[in-house]
Amino acid sequence: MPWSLSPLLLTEKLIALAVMLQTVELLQLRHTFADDGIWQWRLLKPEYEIFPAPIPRLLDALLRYRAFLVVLGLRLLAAVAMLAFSQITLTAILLCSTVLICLRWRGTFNGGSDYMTIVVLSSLLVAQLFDRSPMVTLGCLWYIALQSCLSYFIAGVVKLRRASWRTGRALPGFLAAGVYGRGGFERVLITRPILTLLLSWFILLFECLFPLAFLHQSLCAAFIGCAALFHLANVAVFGLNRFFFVWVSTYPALLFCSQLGVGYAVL
Amino acid sequence: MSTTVIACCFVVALLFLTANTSWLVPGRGMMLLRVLFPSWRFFEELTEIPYLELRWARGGESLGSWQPALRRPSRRWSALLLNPEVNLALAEQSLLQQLESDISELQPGTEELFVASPSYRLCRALVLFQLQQLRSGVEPVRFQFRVSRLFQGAAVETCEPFLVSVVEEV
Repeated sequence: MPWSLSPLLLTEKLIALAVMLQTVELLQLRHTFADDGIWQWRLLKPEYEIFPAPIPRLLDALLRYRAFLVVLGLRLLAAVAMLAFSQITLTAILLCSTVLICLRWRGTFNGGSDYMTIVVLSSLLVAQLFDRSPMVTLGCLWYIALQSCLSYFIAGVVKLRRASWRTGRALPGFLAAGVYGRGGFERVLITRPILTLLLSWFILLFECLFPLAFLHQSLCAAFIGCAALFHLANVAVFGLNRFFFVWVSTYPALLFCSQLGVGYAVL
Repeated sequence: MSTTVIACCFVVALLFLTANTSWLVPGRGMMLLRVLFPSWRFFEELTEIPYLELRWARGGESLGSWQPALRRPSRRWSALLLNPEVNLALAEQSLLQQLESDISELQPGTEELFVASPSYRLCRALVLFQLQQLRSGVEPVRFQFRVSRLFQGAAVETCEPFLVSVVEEV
């Protein structure tokens, strides 16, 4: 089924790149989860005792500092290998290690980017498990595309309900509270209320209208172009680099599904 | 037939993942497994966020003035590919939010037990980690930390502490 394999393969390579970069970052931060760091395993361990008996023992074996470094090393190797090969084992390693990383940081390490990494990897795993079924492959691509679309649409709708977003007051607040503080770039935006109002409405419209991307492939390409620029701006302003790579990995599925059209989805 | 079944499975899965699933896994377990239930409500509304400060002194000196415990990372061009400083800062902020959430759920009379909780001990480890970057040498220091609520984008002077630690020596 070459028509459905290609976007899935592209998704696989892009998520492998995203996971590889995420893992290098975590290895750079290894002193923060070492035995004298911040997220020391001996402090975290009691939290997992709420799970049934074998699970805390398993987590203790996998999440203590040295073992966790091995998990990260394995994850890095699997991500690099996935750039060259398609293997269900590699996908399973990436998915399991992502769940372990989230558990090590009490739920998630990086919020939304972890959610989308799980969405993409779990869909890839299901598609590889049932690789003889074109319908499953199609379903997995639709699932990735719908979650990607929902991520923009839900974020847009919840903002639209807030008066602070509609009046342009929210954006300067978020800019001032960002990790980089009120640097030159943020100050330029914060001190220009008309500009922040226009930017706020651009974000609201872009996010709320995102489902229109499914109507036509060229419309989808335009939305994806805007989305990529939106994520690059988020890297510059908020430092959210992980979101850029993970969301880009969902775009082949979005483009593919927009090519099929809405009618195909309800067949 | 199979098409309809698969389509139904995906609709159910989608509804499951976007619905409120807190009844499936109670409290703490839900928090630890929340990555399995995506939430896409990014930058919804300006809110109060926890703000960590510390003060410290060498030997018998009196404690210095309160200072921000978390340093702001600097912007770099390479941040698109690798941005560990910012992702660490976001994880530290998330640690403080969990601490605030845990304090808000405390039962009356259990406040003293809170210092033994993972949230408090992780916050203390975060302070010690930052203190290591600030101090030079190995001579003992005394330190204290406090966590306040700060409205996003507001001035630091407007925040009010909801947790003040005892003075400790390390």
